[in-house]
Amino acid sequence: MLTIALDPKLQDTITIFLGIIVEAIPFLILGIIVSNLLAVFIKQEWLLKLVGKNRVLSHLASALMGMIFPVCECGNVPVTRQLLAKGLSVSQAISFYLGSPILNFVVIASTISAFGGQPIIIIARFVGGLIIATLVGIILSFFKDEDQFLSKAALAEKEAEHDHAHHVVKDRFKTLFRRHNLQLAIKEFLEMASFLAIGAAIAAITQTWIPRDYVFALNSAPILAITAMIILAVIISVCSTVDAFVGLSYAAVLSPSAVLAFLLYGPMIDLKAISMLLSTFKPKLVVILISLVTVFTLIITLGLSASGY
Amino acid sequence: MAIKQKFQNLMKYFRNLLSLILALGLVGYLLWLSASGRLALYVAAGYFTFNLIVAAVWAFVLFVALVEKAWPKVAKKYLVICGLVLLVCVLAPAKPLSSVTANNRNLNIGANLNPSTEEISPLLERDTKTLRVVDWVKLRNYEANFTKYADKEVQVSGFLFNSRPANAEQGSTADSVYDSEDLLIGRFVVTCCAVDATPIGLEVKQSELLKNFKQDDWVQIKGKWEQVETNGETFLIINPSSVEAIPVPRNPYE
Repeated sequence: MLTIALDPKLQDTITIFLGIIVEAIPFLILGIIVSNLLAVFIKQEWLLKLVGKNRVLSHLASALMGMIFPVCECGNVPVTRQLLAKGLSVSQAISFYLGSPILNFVVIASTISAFGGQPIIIIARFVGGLIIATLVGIILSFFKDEDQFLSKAALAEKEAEHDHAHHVVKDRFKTLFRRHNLQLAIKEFLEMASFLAIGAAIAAITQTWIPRDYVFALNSAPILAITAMIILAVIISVCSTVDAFVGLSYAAVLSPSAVLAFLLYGPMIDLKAISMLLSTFKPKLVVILISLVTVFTLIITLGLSASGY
Repeated sequence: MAIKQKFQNLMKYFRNLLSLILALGLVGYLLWLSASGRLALYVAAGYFTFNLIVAAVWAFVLFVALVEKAWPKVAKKYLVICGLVLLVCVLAPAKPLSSVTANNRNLNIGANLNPSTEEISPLLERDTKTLRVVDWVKLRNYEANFTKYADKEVQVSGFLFNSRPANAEQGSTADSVYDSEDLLIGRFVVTCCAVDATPIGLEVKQSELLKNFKQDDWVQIKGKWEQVETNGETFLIINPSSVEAIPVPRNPYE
């Protein structure tokens, strides 16, 4: 094997980069598999019936759908795309996208195991996550033409799937391995892996080259500590299935409201998620999304801070 | 014209075939990491099985695609990025995280391990020589009176690093650790992957034995806990009786 002696800082950057890639790719594959199963086994009518037409309830239902799909923020982009193809509106798909990395059962289990001693954090995370996911979806639903937010590729995919949806699928397993489906799945894998790699590279570089203490130098006022934890969540881009344990490591030095900011914001918005979102949505939607999630996270965590946590 | 057309078609064919090969390469890398044990450098042990199973399933899907000639049509830019990633995967030297990251994350070394009583009680019964760095850090965080371990024997392995305030100029890792202040023998605790690695460490007293060692050298230190007093605070520090170089362990993280 080749052994190259690198500058230790560069070497650690690469190790962290590969750490994110190696940890996230299996979840990405899982997301693609789930999305393909969804494509073949879930009928469009069921899904649309499940979600309903009511503005508030349909977004709440979309956010709660995250509970059934075991995908975190790497796997949920392919699933979100599939839901769009199945006829969910952009705003409903966004509610799902924001809700699923917080509300899926693996995340619930890991958060309970990490914060068993601080139920306020567990409750605030899930209730807060559900509220943000639902509200952001509802706000987006007021835009007139929601498809304007889709990237060209996603729009084409949505229209293509729409034509497919009317075909009756007979032998479902065979369909999964049809040449056309295999091609699409592998294409999605390589595209998503590219976006993941860009996000992971930025996360690894910022992590090794900016000392973490700078983030914590801000720990003097609640608003600063909360902002610091939001920035940290964006930078370190850790998978939501285990971020509770990372958050726990700061619980000793920070207030519950600052830890909550990390746990709420990270699964919804982080460097690799932003990168992957851009594969499906136009930049303007990503900007709106970041702004709304930031405002809501600040309101919830500052509210918690004001009530003494 | 016809030849040009043929050539273009051939190029397209190769590009699509290349896409599948890149996908196979990435999953092959994951499988190779599992097989060679290198996975331990990047993710926590709890993920080994999941990683292997998903990679194997995906390898099967890609194999079917290969047989069915289902070459995906992927844009050039993604092929370039995936190619670069694969290149980094293959060329990256297999090394665990170093003192650079330990110092960068030197928030509060080890303060985040808050063990429960159930976790601690088996440790209390063991011979102190069998306790690892992480066990000692847990004990130190748990026990109100850690100094009672003074004069107890210690035998731990880890890498050497200097703990300095993160904003101070970081010394070159090529320097000997001898004479440096705040020398630690440490490990990283990893919950998920290298991204969340948290450094933990035990203070080591300076000694001639350390003369030939540098930061990031992996060593086994044998010695005894010694009580010292600085600025009115008493704490324990390892007084080494032997320091031996060891190879990087297969599972470098805790």
